[in-house]
Amino acid sequence: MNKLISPFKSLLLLVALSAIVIGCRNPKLESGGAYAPTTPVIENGVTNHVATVEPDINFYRADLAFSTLYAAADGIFKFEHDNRMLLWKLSPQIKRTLDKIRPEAVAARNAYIMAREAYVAHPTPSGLTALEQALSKVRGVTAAAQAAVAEFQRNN
Amino acid sequence: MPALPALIPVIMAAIQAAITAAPQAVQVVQKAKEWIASLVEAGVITKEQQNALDLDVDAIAALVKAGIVPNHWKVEPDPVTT
Repeated sequence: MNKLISPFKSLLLLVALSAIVIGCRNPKLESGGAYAPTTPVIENGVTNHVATVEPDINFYRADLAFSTLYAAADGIFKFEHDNRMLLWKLSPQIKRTLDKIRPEAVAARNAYIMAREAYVAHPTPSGLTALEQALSKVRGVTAAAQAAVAEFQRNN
Repeated sequence: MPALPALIPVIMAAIQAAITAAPQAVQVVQKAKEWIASLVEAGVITKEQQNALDLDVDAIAALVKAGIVPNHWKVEPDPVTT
């Protein structure tokens, strides 16, 4: 397990420092992407791609946060699943703790996707709020899974 | 989007746990880099980056719509040790 840590330590430090020092800026979404869609308009035989809605940076950020949190939770569940016998012999508690989180993680995953579907159909401020509320549940289960791993690391 | 600063330490901790736990955490690192870049850089998020993220989340949505839960997300019986 320790072999995985050292190659990523400097990257983690750089990423963490960037986040802390620089804070939030306002990047722009290039037109024509999934979160800044355009519509082709033909004028005088020339096709122009015109933005018909405002680029949705908040939706992009929500999806990126969800994707990152999902991947983190998925990695933790998969690691325990793939190394279950070894981990069980070291401590049964990690499986038992993650098993309490697993159903909640599935529910949180589903809730985010449902909220996302609703927002894509009707992109309103209240829809974005519902998306963010669903994201907070995903954040909660991922944090719980992370805490379970951290507890295991402390005790082993 | 409220509470973005509050997301950062949680996501960092989750990423660290995943990286120390899973070889496939390289994907997590890449996603984390993109997420941090979206917060800290005042540049442009390209069409390709947007579309890749959209496809990624759409793939998860397809699982949800099909009612699929990966085995490692399910509660399975405890191992039997002799």
